[in-house]
Amino acid sequence: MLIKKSSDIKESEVTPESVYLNRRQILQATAVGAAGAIAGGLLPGSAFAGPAAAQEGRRLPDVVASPLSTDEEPHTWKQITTYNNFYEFGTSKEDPARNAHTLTTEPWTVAVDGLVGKPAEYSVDDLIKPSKLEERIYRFRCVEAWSAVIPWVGVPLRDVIERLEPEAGAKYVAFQTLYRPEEMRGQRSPVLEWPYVEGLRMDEAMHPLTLLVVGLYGRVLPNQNGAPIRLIVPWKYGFKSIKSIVRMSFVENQPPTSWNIANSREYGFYSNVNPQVDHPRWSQATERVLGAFFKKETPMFNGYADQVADLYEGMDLRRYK
Amino acid sequence: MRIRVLQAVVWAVCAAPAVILLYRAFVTGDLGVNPVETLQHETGRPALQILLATLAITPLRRLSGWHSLIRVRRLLGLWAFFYAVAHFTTYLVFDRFFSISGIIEDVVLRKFVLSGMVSLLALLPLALTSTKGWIRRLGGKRWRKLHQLVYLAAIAGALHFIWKEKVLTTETITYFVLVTVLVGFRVVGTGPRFLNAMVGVMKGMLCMPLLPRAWVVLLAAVNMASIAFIGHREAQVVLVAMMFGGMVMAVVYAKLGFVRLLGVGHFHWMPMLVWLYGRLDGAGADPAFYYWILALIAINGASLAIDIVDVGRYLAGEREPTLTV
Repeated sequence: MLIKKSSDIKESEVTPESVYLNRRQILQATAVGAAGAIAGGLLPGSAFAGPAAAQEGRRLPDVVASPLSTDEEPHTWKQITTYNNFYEFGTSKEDPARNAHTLTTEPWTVAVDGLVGKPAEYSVDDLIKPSKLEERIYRFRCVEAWSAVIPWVGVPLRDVIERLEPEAGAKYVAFQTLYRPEEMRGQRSPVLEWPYVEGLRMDEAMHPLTLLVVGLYGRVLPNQNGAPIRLIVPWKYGFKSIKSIVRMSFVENQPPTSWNIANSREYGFYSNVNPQVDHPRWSQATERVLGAFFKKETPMFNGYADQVADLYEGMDLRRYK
Repeated sequence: MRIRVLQAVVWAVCAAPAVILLYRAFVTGDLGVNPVETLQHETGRPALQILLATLAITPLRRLSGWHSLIRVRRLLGLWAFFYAVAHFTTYLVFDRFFSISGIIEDVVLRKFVLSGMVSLLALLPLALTSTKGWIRRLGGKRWRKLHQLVYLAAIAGALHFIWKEKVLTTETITYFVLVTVLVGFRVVGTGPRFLNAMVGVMKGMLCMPLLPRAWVVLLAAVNMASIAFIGHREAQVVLVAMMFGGMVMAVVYAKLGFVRLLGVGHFHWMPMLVWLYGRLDGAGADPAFYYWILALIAINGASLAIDIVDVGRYLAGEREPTLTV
């Protein structure tokens, strides 16, 4: 009897995630339909369902698992792609899943400028290619007190920065999101100052946990999650992890950041996850993991304290929010 | 008979959000990615919406003359209270799990929780005294006084929604504006006189010859379009300006009738035209918004010119009512 080794199985023979998920959904839907019919339900389930999960894009080649991943169970593709804060596509959680398909991510360039040895317009590939793609399963904590576990694919920002050869005077990295209101309908409303901008201190940017992300679940990043390239800083509130990046500037002074511009009392430059420092309008001591009914306690630095606490030694974290 | 139909409709519409939630929770098992948030939104939102409908009953009665509308007001109020209690229950169970100290901490530290609690507590005595027996026991006058708490409940409820969101959203602003209009309606016009004046202005306009009448309709349409752009500061200002203009005109009408002096209801548009013109540059990104601002400037500008002439003619001694058919 011929037993195939796993490497003999062609990619085309493997059931794609979407299909087996669909099978489950079909089974569920059938059961639900039957139950609904029995219950005499007149209401079609689809009428109240949220947006559909993102289409699955190209599978990224040669992704290696990272030892820096958490062993917590990641949320599903559907959860991660239908519940997003991406105000460029609208302010509700479901808006990005409904509206982000209008974004063109090819061609895409990232401008690198400022105090840097190799300023240029880079394609996403040129920016990340020399590094090996890693899958990193990180906890993600939103400033709104919900959280998720997400299997990102990306490269350490550190590697990219080293290749760009920043000058000694560069103390911060500033990032900017695409501004294209024709494709990003949320930008037609002045809910925030556009384009969205973020920034990190150089040692934060160079930290091994900080990631430039191009994928999710081994596939290219869906638009609603910040395609084609975004930042992930897992010990900070989600809004620090800027999406759809078109510019990286190496600068001497602390750069402006969007939520701080919108409301400096509520959102500081650092925005580290900190259960002891509340948002002025709600508590940060606990969080609701997506899908859970009850809240759990939020750990300091979102559980990454061992790796990052020394970055902030001697700083009063109530003051440097 | 008509009122029975209306009551049935109110029942159906008010029950729908609860039925849909129960269906999603127990039949499809799909309450979205964040089920607790879904439960909280889909109970909080109808609470506020139905509360607004409750507040709208009296103005609607006066404007339409359909007085039996009053017979659905208690029904609406009780449904609003039902959703407010359901909303609070999700908070009590899933956010705080019956922790009294946790709730006290929230109320003391967080205006977003405080405002919600004020709204709920303001509705509580109204629900308890909503029966005919209680109206009799309290006496109509005292009962009405007590039930003015509904304004507090509505304002606190709208603020609760605004403070819950990270930014001002179209939805939260819309509710707040509606609450302001409905409460403002009562505060400014404590008697029917103000309302009658508002109706009088509208009737006067509808009695004008075709051309000016069409113009007024166009003007109202362009200004009302601000609701479509309510996320923009410009639209919010225009909406407030409209209400202000309406109040000025109602006051003039109440004193003098349908005279040319009513044109002063447009005078605050002088600085607004300048301001809007200055905002045009920033409006370029969205063509629809840009052309709307242009239309606002053109049509309100022309109206203002006509109104200035009208007011001038009034001051020069033309005291008879403006042209009517």
